[in-house]
Amino acid sequence: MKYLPNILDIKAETTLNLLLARAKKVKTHSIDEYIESGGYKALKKALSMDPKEIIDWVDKSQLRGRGGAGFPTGKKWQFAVQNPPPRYFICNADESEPGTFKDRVLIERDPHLLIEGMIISSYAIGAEKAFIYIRGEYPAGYYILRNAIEEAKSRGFLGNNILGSGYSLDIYVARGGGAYICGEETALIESLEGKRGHPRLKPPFPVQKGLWGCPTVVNNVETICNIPIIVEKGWEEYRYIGPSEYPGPKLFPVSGKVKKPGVYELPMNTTLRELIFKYAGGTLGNKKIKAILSGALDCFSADELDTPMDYSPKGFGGTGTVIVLTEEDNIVELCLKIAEFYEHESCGQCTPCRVGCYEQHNLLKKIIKGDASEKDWEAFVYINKHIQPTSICGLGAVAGRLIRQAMEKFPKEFERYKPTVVKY
Amino acid sequence: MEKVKIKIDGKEFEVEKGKTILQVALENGIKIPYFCYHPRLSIAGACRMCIVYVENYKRLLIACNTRVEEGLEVYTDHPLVKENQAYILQALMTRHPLDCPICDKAGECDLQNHGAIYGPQEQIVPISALEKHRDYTDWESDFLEYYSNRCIVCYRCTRVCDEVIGAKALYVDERGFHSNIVPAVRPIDTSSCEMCGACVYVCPVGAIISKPFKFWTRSWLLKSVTTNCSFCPGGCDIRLEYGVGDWRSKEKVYRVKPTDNINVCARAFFGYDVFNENRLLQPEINGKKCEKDEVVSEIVKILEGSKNVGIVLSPYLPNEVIETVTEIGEKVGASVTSPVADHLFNILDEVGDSDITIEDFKNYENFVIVSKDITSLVPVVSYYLKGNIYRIFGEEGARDEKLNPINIEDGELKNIKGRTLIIVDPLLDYKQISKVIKNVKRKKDFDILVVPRDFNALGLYRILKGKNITPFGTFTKALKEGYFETLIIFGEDICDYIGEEETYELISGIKNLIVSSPFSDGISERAHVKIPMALFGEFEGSAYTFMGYINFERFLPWSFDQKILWEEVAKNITGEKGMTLLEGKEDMEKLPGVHLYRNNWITKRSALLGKLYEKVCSVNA
Repeated sequence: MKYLPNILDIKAETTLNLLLARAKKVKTHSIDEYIESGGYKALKKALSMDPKEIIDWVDKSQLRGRGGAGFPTGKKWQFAVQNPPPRYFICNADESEPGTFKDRVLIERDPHLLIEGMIISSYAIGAEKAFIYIRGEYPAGYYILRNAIEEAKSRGFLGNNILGSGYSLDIYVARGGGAYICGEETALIESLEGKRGHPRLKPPFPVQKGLWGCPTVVNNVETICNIPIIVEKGWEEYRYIGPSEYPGPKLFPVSGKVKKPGVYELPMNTTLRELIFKYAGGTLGNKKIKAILSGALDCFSADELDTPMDYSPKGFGGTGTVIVLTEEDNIVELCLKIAEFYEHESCGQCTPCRVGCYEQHNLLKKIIKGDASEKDWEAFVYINKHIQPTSICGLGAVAGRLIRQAMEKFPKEFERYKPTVVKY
Repeated sequence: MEKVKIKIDGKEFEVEKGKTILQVALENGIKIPYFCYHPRLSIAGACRMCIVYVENYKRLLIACNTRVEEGLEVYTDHPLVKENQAYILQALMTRHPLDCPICDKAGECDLQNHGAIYGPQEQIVPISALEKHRDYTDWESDFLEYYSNRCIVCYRCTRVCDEVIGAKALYVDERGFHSNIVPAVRPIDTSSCEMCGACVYVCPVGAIISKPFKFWTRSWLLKSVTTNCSFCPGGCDIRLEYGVGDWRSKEKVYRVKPTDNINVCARAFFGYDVFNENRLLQPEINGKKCEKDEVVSEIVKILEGSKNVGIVLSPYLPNEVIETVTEIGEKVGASVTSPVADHLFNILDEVGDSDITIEDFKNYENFVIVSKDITSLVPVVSYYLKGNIYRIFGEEGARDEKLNPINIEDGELKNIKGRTLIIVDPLLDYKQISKVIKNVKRKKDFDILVVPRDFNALGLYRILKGKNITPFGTFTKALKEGYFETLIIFGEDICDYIGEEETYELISGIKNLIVSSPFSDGISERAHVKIPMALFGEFEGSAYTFMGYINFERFLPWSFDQKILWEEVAKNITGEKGMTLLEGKEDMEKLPGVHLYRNNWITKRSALLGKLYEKVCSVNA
């Protein structure tokens, strides 16, 4: 490897020592270091187990997808194995949500944890080809994963007849082209097939017809990294990590106006308040918190600091991304940034999102500039409300959500910009 | 077929399982608006206009992608549906230039129609006309034009190009609101684009338009008749649109469109200008226009008074005229031939006649193309080749490359397994083809389809089979020797096979030359008696094409009834001489080359196709 870009130098702290056991150190862990600290033990154990048993364990562990939607991983695998082979396993490393860098930390610092998880998962669902779709903006991660795969191959963890079990697996790494939408699993599959990154119509779901029409499981990096832990500890023990309904470790990338931004590995019964004040060291200059953004999905006000960081309907949910804003920040201008993000990242497949995101951004820009008329304001509210109901994929479903929540929670902020005079 | 019961707007329907809600609604006359759905294309689900409220799931679903299931309760007029359809229309209209008065699509535009019925008649986002600019990529074409700000990004054009035509000439550039339909190679005229015009037809708005049609007339002024094309044996179902465009013009053909089956190629879509230029619409004797009865008596007089009569039949005639003229030939003892009589008839004799139509193509797994370029010969055949494609005698750079064929030798044919269709181009060297055919005949799963170049060549073969047909090579030799006193020539086929100048020289010594041609110039300029020949829409009759046995209708107001004329000639002639067979076995001197845009003597006359031909040839040179 001639050129290796720098890896992300950010604080990673853990109370559980599971996902970040090694990754808390800012360095890329080689295969020797990984094996030394107990790595690839889970793989040996898994290969001695029946694939059905592994799926059963993952199901009983109540592991939920860490990519944002929180779909039970065991259920997804069960659906996939109902369909005939060939099956494919895809790792979704297209992490592009604003303020999210948890997968990046895992990939860059502990690539073998991901690879071990992928081998076990592929073995469980009976896939003989697995793919890692990594974001185009993560060049370091791409080279590190390529290197790690070579290392694993040289030790016999990958390739033909893994550890004499008779099971063979190849892992390929593919780079994305910088589109947020390719993090949506069906768009990712389209992109992997070499097509334009457009979400597919569902049904059929990827577990029925995915990559090249075959049953495919797409899992997030963090989800896959949980698999070796479940296999090694057993599902009963895994269930004791964190709250009983939402077990397992969770990574929380915290950024914005906090003293110690970084990735925190915590159980899911932690509250937002604890995360910000106990772990991230509170806000910069001890200013009052105004709002907390969960990536570009949700907006929480300072009154909601006791929200638990889990997948319950009232929980924080999503990818666990926390962006902290203090009283000096302007919510409306922030909404403009979010609107710009969605305008830029809308793929253009369906009408409500393609036009809606564009007009939403344009109108908000006009409103902030002070050029808007009352009619513009009405149109802005109208469009914001209507992007969601008819759009194809998750992006359209959330394109107006954060801004709508912000308007509900911070009406006074928006009031200032609201045009009162009808301009012609 | 399993049946399920569903309810749409409270009405109960029993329908086949596996159908979509939209299909059921369209079949039963329930109105659901849509833009991106097309019966011939895959489901894109992009426009979201066809949303319906499904009571079972308590949510909005798109009708085009939702399969019916037992007990489904669907509402097309739910308030949520109405509200969101209105939003989608507003979204599409916001940056739409609303230039209907100068848009060619006006009157047949889906956005205009749906906007009038389902949309609120006001603009929600106040935007001035100046803000309606969108990124634009010029297609640099003389034939197609793209207006990005009219485009609603329904992906119909890219889908039709990829899925039906297979040319893959279009793709979507950029993303989000800036999505733009862009040709893969610019100028698009020189790309893999076949200029079939399918993208123009499927475009639900006026985003892609045909330049030759642009600004000439309005769609509602035209009369539209569904008929079949007679430019090649494809016999595609198309719509011929004619009428008076404006106060300056006379009645003429303005455009040709495919039907929803999208069987169309450049020859039909852009070659319609042959209808309008240099036409022979009335019979003439020695340069003087005259009525039908005069011509009939003149022809009868000539035929009864002359010794050696030759008849050159054209494969562009309908079955009825071929039959009548053959009857005339038998009565006066003429030598009858056709330019296709040598190469095509020989191959058909050897292979055996088959009535495989394009519909039957789906029964085959493998296709073997025995041709230089089947796409140039009969484009519509290439649209239906779905399976493993093999090719013998293929040329590099041919249009067939779009099918990704595997090049094989004739010896490798026996390795192909499964139902296989061998598509044979009779314009190849006869010895080459017969070698291939020998290999094929032994296998049970193999069927052979001969694809002639000319429209009703199969009909001509079926009617003349077993009759004393003089080979064309022998006929031209006799012509050269000055054997014929009277010659009846149909069409200009003869020029395709022996060259234009050579033909004029050959016929210069004929005492009585009777020519039936659609055109007033060319070979008919040299004739003593000129009789109009019909293009499609101008004759009544039948023909054998790849779409099956087709009956054509005569509806164009300026058309001359050639069938009646020849029937009257046959009625007035007496005699029972039988056809004269000229002995001899001369080989044909040359076979015509075929090009996608200039296929035969009719399409060669199209100025538009000629322009395309020159453009493509100048790039390839």
